[in-house]
Amino acid sequence: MNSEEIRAMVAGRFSDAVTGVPRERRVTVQVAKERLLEVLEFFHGQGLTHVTAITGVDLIGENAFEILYHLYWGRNMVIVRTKIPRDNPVVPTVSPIFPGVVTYERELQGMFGIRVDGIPDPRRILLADDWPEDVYPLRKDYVVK
Amino acid sequence: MVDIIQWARKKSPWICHFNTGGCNGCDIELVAALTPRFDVERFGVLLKGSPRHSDVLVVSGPVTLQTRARLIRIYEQMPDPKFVLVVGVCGCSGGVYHGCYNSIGGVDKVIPVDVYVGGCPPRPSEIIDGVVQILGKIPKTVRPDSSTVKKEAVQQ
Repeated sequence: MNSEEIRAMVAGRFSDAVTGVPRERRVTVQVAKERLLEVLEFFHGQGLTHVTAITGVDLIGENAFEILYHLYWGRNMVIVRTKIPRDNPVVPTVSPIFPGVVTYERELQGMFGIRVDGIPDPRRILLADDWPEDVYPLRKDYVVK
Repeated sequence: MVDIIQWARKKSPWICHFNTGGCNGCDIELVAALTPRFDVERFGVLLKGSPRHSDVLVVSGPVTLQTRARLIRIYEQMPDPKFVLVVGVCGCSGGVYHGCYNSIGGVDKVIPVDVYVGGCPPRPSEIIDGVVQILGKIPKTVRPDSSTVKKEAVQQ
């Protein structure tokens, strides 16, 4: 299946999702937070069982965080993106669908302070042991001392 | 007697290697420097697994928040007189990691350093030259005291 066919399939299935093909072999699907699990479950049903990475982006100008789930699908990369408000940063965990994402979600919590709702293991993963609790280094308003 | 000890020390600088959070490039070059091709044993250089057995601590990489306490602990475990050789520009000044949220900069912010070897990464011949420079320092160097570890670095 080529990128345009994937995009058309997703657009037909989820009418409220904003889809695009920024370049060959790359498909983006932008959804609301509430529909995120539904869309990921749909892709899982299509045989995408591997989340390559989760990216967090601090859109401080829009007062939002964007979270990108990169799914590997043969020759294509499907990127599911969702925006959440910066003052209430909560996303649902996707670990019931993709069990391997827990480490990525733990990193997301530590680096951005985005609370992952329902995460089975909420411990911090990458920051130093003596790192303060409520400081998140990858936020844009973090100041390096 | 002192002369004999000094002579023995000069003929067998045992080294211990510690990466404080670098990219591993300098470590590969250090391992390359220990191969028979460069034959550092002609200077009596041996890589030891424990800091308690070594005279020279070879540090590569910038000091991160997580490794700072470990670096101090390793340095304190070494018997006097001890020498520190920094390999690579990251250990000298912080390098490309300078200004990173988890990096506190060069090794000399935490422990006293005798010789700096720049480069990203330095060639094995430059690392060997660093060890030889430390050997040149031995008769002149005042016995370093463990209390020279910067106190504020420990408290941070």
